[in-house]
Amino acid sequence: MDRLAVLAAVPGLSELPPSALQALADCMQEERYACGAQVVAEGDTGDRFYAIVRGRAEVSAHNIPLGNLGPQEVFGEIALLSPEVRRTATVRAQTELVLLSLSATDFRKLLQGHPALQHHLQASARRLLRLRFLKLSTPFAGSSQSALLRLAEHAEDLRVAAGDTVIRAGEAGDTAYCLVSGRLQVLREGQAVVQLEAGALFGEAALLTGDPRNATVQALEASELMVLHRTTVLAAMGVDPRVATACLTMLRLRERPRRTPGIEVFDSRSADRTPFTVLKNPGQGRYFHLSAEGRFVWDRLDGAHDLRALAIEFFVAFKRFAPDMVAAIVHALALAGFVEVRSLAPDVRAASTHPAGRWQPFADAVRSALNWQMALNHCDPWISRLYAAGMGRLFTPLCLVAMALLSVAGMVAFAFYAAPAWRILAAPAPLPGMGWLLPAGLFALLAHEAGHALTVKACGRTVERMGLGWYWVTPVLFVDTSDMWLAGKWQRIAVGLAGICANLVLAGLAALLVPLLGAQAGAVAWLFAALSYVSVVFNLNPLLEYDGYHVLSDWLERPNLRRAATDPRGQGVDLLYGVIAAAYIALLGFLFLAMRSVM
Amino acid sequence: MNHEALGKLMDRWSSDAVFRAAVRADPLGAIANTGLQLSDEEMAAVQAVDWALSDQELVSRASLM
Repeated sequence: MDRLAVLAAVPGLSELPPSALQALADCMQEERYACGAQVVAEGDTGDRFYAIVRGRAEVSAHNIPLGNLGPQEVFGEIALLSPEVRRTATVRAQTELVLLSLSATDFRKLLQGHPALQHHLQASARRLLRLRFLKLSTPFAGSSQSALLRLAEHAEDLRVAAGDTVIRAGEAGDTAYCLVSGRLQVLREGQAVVQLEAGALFGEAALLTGDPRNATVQALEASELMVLHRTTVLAAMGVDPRVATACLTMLRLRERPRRTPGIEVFDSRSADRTPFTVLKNPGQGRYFHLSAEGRFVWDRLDGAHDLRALAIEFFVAFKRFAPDMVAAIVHALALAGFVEVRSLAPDVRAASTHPAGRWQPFADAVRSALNWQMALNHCDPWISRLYAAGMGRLFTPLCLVAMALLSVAGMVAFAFYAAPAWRILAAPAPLPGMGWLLPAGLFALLAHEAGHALTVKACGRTVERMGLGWYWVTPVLFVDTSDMWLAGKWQRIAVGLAGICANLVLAGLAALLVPLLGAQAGAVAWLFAALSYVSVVFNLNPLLEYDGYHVLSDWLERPNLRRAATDPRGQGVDLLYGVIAAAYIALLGFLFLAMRSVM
Repeated sequence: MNHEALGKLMDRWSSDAVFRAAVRADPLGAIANTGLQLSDEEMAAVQAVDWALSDQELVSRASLM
């Protein structure tokens, strides 16, 4: 083993002069541990310093895993510099582990003979201590070694006495602090709101947002701090996105979120009487579903409650310690624009946004090409006028029954005239009247969308927008019926089925006209009915977001069913959704075989 | 659990990413390691977290044809 090469690769030791590094290498002895063996134990007296040559080790404290160590990483160095300090963590081999170790006695002898080495080692040790502290005790614990090293190299040490003010509310700030030892208190408007203990990160909000300090921090006792400058933090964010994640997480956890003004709140109950709330952001046309717990949190997003207060009140109300859940609700609301949170300074946003992956632009382009829309906004007044001008009468019971009878009778007629119509259609000569299929098809499209829009009006809700576009492989017309999120389950299902019903009525009408139009025109009418039925089957597809999917999602009372089913973090595909999707595919197969046998 | 103890628990949770991960993985074990004494009822409160979060933005309902 080339000890010199091993030590030269250890961060923090690599800048030692070659002679000092050689002296260090000569004093170290090789140790080997089997997988699972304990190298040092938390609470023991420290007497050796270790550098990992080969293998991996796990670091834990109080049985909580703190991280993993690999080749060129060191541990146990505190014992060399502060013999009174006991081991603060347990290190256990995760694989066969080869180490170089140095006894405290050898280390001290070495220092006596090499003052320059002592200077270098002390400086290196300070960095190593910072690195170790950052890795084991701060919110940056999960960040990469290189990012932590950058933080450790450029951090400064600061000592404060009891009563000293570290940061003051209202002042500008471009530094964040990690509390290494001691105790601090956070004051807001002169009132102590929380105490900070070793490992706490603070001061990050002003650094990240550019806003003034939002609290004062005073020392309750003599304390040691690590000062992280803005440029250092931004540079570390550039090295590892987990540094940005740690900072942003702290910012969000200490946020005092406030409800976005103008949000409309609608309370309802599901079929099993479970209460829920739907929020509407009229400005953005966005909707948000809240459980009873979510509603509880929403009511307290007043700019005064932080996550700590929210979680405590949540516990009192629901007897559940669920800060993660509360944080997730607030985060989702903020992402959807229902809650105002502090925004990041532009340079922080740039540093924390990492470039997209190699294939991301291609994936975005494909997604855009597959789902493109051109929308007409503010169309609700037109549809309301159409509804008031007489189309609303289609929703009287008499008209609904008449349309249902027409649809059923049309299906019977379609089946009855199938064989003669098909004989005419199968003839090689061109059929006069086929040109009518295109305008008739366009009319059917309009009738389908009008069915959705008018049913929305019949339910007393608003049509947000309408337009045309491209969805997967087909051009589409669409009506945005999102306002139906504020309606009941059966009303939503009625809107989902309205387009299909319009197609069934038109198909039925065409089939009933077959005997009245003569052989050739009747065959064209039959073909129109056939194409309408095909479009109905196509629209029932639960796998894409066509009408059948919305109806199924509403029936199951599972909003965002498709997204939940395909979310890798979710609980997998809903069983019923899977069965119905499989049944739909089986239906397609059956219809295909039936058509082949007829043709 | 009185509010002071709960506040201490939240302070630790807010400032310690490792503790947050530990609570997520093993809430009882992680909270026991803090030294806080919890009653049976409070232990049940820690265990009763339902992670099937239903609070979510609702996707746009565009009826396509």
